[in-house]
Amino acid sequence: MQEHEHVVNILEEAKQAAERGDIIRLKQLSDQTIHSTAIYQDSDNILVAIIVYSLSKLLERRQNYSPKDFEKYFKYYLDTIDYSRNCINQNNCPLFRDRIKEMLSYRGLSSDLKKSVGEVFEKAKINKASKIYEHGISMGSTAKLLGISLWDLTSYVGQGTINDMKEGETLNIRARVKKALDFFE
Amino acid sequence: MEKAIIFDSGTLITLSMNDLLEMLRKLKQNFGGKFIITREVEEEIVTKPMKIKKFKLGAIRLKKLIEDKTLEFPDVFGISQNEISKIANSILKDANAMFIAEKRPVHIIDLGEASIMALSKLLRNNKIANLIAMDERTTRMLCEKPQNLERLLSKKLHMKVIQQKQGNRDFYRGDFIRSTELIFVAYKKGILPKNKDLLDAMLYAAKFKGAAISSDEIKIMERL
Repeated sequence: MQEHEHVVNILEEAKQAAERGDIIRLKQLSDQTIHSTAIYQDSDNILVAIIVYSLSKLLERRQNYSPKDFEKYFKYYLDTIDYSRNCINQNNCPLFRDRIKEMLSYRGLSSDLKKSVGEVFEKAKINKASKIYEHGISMGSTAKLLGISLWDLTSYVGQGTINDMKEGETLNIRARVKKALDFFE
Repeated sequence: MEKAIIFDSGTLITLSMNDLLEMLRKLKQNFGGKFIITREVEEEIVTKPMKIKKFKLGAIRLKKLIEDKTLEFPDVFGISQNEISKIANSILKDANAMFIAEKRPVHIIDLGEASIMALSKLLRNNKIANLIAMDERTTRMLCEKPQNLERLLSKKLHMKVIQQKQGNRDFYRGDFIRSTELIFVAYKKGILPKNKDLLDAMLYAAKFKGAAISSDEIKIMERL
């Protein structure tokens, strides 16, 4: 994994933010890993961004779940963050990945919470993918990196302001339209 | 002179999601050339989404375009998959070594995008005029204005990103259009009803489904 120290700090801060219910901070922390993700394209860095962002979404939706169920899973989630920090500190990324997989298939969850956890993780992947695309990485590279479908990514990126950035205007629109019209003559 | 439009996955996905594949079929009938996709694009628009319930219908609709030969493969021009793969791999290496951040190259494009540029180059070599229909912006920036990509990467990564080499510019000479220009052509040719409101709705629908076009560009387009 790239930038161990930075990632460990992010996980530590994410746990504190989650304990005080600071959803905005969690989203900011998740975005902080995007720069290094875009440069190194390291799947473990991406996983950290996804678990931190997913935590913010689960906290946002907590009123939808039974409090007992949620508290149990929330505690397990925070334990997983501690465990992940230790794994990363010891440079044991396979163990970190296994634990995240285990967290996603956690036994004893009610069916609605289980379904919601799955959905939140999938949406988190698409959200992170759109951020990486925003950083200048192509759609194909981004979709591959996150293991998502181009169909998911295409429909998601259009909803933000990415396509209004001035850097994206690479040819005068009149010239492009003329080129298209002429080609059909 | 023979001519072709090479389609990227994103453009076809945008058109499929906006129910504009019939428009594409009519454009093809009007065109007098070929609409081409690579095998990598077929994988993204048909093979993979066929296994995902959410996108299966879109994939079936696009498969139909292949079956009725609205979309064809490069072999209609005598270009083999081997030739495309060979050049696509060279493009991948070249493009992904072009920009440097923190002393390491930034991997910016993938095989699907590289295969389209490779096909465009092979068609040019065979004197076949071609346009690339691509909705995603990174590959377009790389070809048309790499300095903008350098600026964007630096701005978003909050660090100096340097374009360390020009690369083999012959790889990047393609001409690009997007789903929005295809909609505009269809409008001008009377394939779509002459209704400004409808045009506006279609252009924005394409933008909101992933076509990398700004609102300012759409406003100008609507006045043309």
